Amino acid sequence: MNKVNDILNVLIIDDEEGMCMGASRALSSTTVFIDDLKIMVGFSSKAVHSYAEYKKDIMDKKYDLILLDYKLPDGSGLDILQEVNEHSKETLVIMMTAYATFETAVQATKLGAYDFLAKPFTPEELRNSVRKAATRFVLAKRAKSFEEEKRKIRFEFISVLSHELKSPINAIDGYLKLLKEGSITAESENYQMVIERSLIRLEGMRKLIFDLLDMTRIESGQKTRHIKSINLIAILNMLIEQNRYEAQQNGITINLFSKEELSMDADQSEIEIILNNLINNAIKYNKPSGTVDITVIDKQNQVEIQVKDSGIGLSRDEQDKLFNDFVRIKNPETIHIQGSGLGLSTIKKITALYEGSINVTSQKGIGSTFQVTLKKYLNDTICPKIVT
Amino acid sequence: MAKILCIDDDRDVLETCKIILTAEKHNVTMAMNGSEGYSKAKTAAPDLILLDVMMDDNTEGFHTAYKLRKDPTLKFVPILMLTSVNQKLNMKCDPKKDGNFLPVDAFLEKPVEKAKLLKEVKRLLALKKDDINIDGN
Repeated sequence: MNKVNDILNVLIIDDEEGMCMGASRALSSTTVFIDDLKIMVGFSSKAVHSYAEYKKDIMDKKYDLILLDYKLPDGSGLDILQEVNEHSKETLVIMMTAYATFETAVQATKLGAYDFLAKPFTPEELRNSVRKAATRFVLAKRAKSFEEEKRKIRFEFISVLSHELKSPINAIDGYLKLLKEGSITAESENYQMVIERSLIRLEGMRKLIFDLLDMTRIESGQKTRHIKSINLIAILNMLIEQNRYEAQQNGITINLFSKEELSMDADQSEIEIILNNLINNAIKYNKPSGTVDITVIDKQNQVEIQVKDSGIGLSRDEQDKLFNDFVRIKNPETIHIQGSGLGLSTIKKITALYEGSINVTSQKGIGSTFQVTLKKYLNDTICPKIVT
Repeated sequence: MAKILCIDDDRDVLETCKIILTAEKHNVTMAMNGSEGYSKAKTAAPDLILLDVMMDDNTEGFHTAYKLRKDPTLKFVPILMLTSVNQKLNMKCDPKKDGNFLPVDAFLEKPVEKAKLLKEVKRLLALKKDDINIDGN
């Protein structure tokens, strides 16, 4: 017999002892394989014989499935059904009755019964009904925990985000108060520094907001993607020009190794987010007078873009967490560099849209090479082309 | 005039504290993470340590506080813990309550305000050895 991964608790409520024992026996030898989750579920059952006994038992217990007799000596099964649906919505109830009429079935279903078994039934009929209910129960539970996980991740993301936004606000707030109180005046030696630092922190916030917009745009999938034929090299040249000033300020040379033209089907703004982040990082995390080498390799169905810097490099640990949201590598060499910690995680999300990947190879103190692979022509079924 | 060590991963928080404290003629040393802070504490022998809670992994400040208290040469140096915890988690820190598990002598909310900072600094510098919360009680 296969290993059972999960046990569902079943309560049998019936005044006939024989029925309880029979159902119990049938369940003890029943397992269900939930194909979608590849898990095996077994059952553990308990029987009570009256409404009063049920009320006593349910005080401190919760059941996954209930097999419920329609007629009890001290009450109606329908009352129990109603209570279960009010207080324990995830519990599934299978009604059993000897007085099987169409009306009772309709009434029970209206009150939330999951299934209906007419007495007398065979152990196999019982097993079938329980298997169906178990599958439904386990899938619903899994869906719920998935939803909860999603909510938790979202909450964590927002907590980190608000911290990231509050840090620069606190910094600027501190400086402005010093100016207001006259602790710093135009004559103070720190005057320029305080203003420069405030502007740098504002720029950091602006970058965070832009990166956040990029990321939500990609993640929500609500933005209409304009997939058309683009020349990757022309975009690269444009972005190199845009980053040229910052590079020159630090004496950094940018080299592009590629052919004149390389066409692929893509949304230009997405490609720009990828390439701009990579080029900008290669400049920011470089050494003075360093180099940025961009190499484009045309493969049959794919294009590979390598951005190599001669910068500070990354340790193995740093490389492992680099592509997660809000990860910034903090050490004395990076502490003065502004970044939101969202750029690389956004790139990773975009590369997935092109059935591609992003990888990094790096040596501490020598430099890093980021390698992005994108599919040039996407399958229509995966990525519908929207031509504008 | 006292020797004060400020440990925070936000350069601007450090600069702000430094400006406020040097105006009061204190001698300020800055450190940007827990380990740098600890080694600077060993060499500078400060009279007071300002320590940020969060830093890199959200608990680095706590660990640094424990480490300082374990060091025989540093254990009686008062610690003023800077927090933005209530901004992040909607929690308030209180030395009377949270001192039960954190061996620090006071908490100060960010953004750092001059008057509050100077008041706490003055109070903590006047603490006697017996008043230092060395074991979180």
